[in-house]
Amino acid sequence: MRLFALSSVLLAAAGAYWQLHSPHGPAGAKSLAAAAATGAAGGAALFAILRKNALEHFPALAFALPPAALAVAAAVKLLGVSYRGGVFLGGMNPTEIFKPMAVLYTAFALSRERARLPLLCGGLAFFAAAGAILNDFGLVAVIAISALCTAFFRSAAAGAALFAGGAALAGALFAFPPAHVARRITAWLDPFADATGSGWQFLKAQETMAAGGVFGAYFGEGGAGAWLPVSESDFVFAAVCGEFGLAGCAVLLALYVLYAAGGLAVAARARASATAATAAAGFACSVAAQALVNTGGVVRAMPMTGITLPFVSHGGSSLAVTIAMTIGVFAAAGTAAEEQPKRAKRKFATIKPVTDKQRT
Amino acid sequence: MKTRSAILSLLFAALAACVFWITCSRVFSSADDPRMIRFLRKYGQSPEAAERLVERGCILDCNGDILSAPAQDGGWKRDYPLGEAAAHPVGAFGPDPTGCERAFDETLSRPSAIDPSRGGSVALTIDAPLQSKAYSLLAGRAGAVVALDPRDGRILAAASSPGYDPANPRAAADSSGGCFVNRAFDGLYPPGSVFKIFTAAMAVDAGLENETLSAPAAGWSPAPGAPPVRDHEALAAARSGARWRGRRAENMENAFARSSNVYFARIACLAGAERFNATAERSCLRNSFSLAPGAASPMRAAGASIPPPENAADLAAMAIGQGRLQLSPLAVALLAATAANGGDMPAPTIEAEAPPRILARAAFSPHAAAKVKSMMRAAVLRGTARGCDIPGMEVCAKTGTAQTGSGGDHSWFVCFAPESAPQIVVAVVVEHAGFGAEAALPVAREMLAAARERGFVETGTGPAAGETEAE
Repeated sequence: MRLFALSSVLLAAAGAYWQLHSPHGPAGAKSLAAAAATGAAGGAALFAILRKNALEHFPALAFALPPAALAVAAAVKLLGVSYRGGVFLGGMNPTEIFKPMAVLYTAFALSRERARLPLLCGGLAFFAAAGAILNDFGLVAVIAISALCTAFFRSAAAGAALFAGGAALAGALFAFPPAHVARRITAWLDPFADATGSGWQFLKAQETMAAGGVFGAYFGEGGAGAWLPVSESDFVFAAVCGEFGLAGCAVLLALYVLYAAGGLAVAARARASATAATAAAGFACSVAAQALVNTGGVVRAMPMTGITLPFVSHGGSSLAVTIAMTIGVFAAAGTAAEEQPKRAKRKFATIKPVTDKQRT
Repeated sequence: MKTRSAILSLLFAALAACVFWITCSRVFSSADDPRMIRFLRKYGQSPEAAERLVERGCILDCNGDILSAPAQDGGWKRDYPLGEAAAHPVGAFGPDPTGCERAFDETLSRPSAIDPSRGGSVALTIDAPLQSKAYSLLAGRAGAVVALDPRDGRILAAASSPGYDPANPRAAADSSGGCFVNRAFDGLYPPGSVFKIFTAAMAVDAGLENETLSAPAAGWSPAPGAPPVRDHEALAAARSGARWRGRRAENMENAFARSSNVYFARIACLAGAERFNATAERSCLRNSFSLAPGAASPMRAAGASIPPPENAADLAAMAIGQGRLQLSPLAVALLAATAANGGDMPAPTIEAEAPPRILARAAFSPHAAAKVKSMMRAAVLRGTARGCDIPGMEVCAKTGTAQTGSGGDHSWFVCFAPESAPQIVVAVVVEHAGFGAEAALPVAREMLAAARERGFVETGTGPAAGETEAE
């Protein structure tokens, strides 16, 4: 718990520093505060849902999540504005909210008595479809990895089964990629083939990293921003490497690992409810997976997916969702044996009398 | 559950370590990956990345003076001491290099054998002072100047105006006037009367050397119904209201000296389209020229567009440098160089180390070349090119006034010197500047004088010899 709190605070601080001092036009304290406030509100909601076991009491709520995501995706596809490979609605990237939705659903499905895997896979298919509609395979990858880790967290067998399925799907995607994915795979495998086109961002990112060296070249000035494309969002990791060097990258990556480890430890020790614990693991894994998918894409360890680096990238929706999920992890924390189930029950009973009926 | 969460944590740590390891390899292997080096040389913007790479070499002129070198403040920038005067042949270095910066990119950016921390240097045949002089003589007018050695085709100057600042090409990116076009090599213009060098040589080779023809004041129609070809005297007389009687029984030398359109249109029709076509083919002017055979990416210059004549009117128009004919200033210089060089056309080159080559052996017969040479001398002594005579230099020349589809006539001038042993050819075009003798001639004369001053012309005999040696 302390580890998780420390790493998330440090990440948030690093992210806030970067966003406020980024050469690419600072995000602005106002928008940062707005995103933090939104995130806090969302986090409070997640906290309440998990602490009150709302999903267990109202399974319909959980079952509504995957179709809702698909509906939102369809609406965005119809009404939204395409920009840099993403679809935006009213300046927000609404797909960000799919991540906590998927984690909640995964936690719910894995906590059921029966038919856990079919339920999980069926729901994930909805999220995958939602991501595919919007061409957001990065989102699909993050949701899938997070679900995979969460399943493993609950049971090794479930994790293995999901891993097999996920690997097969990923293989199929690589073997028969849609045009949009094929371009990214080509650019990943050989950015020099189209150096001034699809490979440009990668090679510019590599130039920035090479310029940064071990301790960074643009410390405090962010000189890379002038010529590194999308240095404020997708390629922010390269900009960090340019400014703070490999040392800065190592610290940042270590913070994400500590975040995941801390979150998982909180989840493993939680005695609140299985759903809350699983959701906490899911949130931690989701943020860490996103960080790895993003940085892996920037350094060309895997194809670029166009998702942001949690906490650090500009973008209010990304930051808000990350903060919300971080708060969500705490929902599983601190409910040890001597916690106040009675008070919680009583409180809950006053609001939702249905609980008592179910409990008794 | 605790065990599995620990396993997951370790998994994340391992993946993060992989990402970090790859980040390290991206940081440290950039300077070893040839493709990355090439990318950074072309498109790099960070001085820090530049410092880790080999410094790009210099481009030098024929005296070893710098035309292009790395800028003092480091990074990717280049210094161009001649500035816009040599922007076109030397080129500009940037994401999309041009000119010699592009042609010799491999040599310039690969570690040289002498000093592996620097790229190789490239020496050009360009003479920096002559190049600057050529550009300044154009004085901002659109046009081009080419100066070359007719014996080996070495290009001493190739100026194109308007120019741009090669150190900062983007500043000129939005200015109109085609400042990025290298008019000297790639500008295709109707050549006008300077093309009579070609027509005359063809006619001599066709055995029509002693043909005397009349040039009626009313002009001459190559075919019934075709618009008549008229001499410029007739046109000038018509403009001023004076009367011109035309010429009766004029020989080729006199017709050349006064630049008679009628004579050369008629003689081309006598020689025939086939011979015209064959001479054009033999001269290799239809091909584009490789100016830097030793360069990794060859530097090519458009030659000329000399389409096969379709009928008598077409042939008559082309014989006097009009119609569908288009030549670059370099191609015009090569025509004169062929006449100066005894009929052999030298291969033009901008690369100092390229061995001299002949592009077209016997493009004209030696006899035709000698005849054209004497006619060009006559044009200077008593013809349209009178203003170009420089004492002691035995200048041979031809003027040209090319009608254009739109705007005023292009002013052309081509000359070489000295007659006895030609060592320099100068071709000048000034766009929409009127008579060849008015705008282009003074530029060419100054260029000849400057070339002599620079020691590119050694007049063995004559009154000027002593002066040259004294300098």
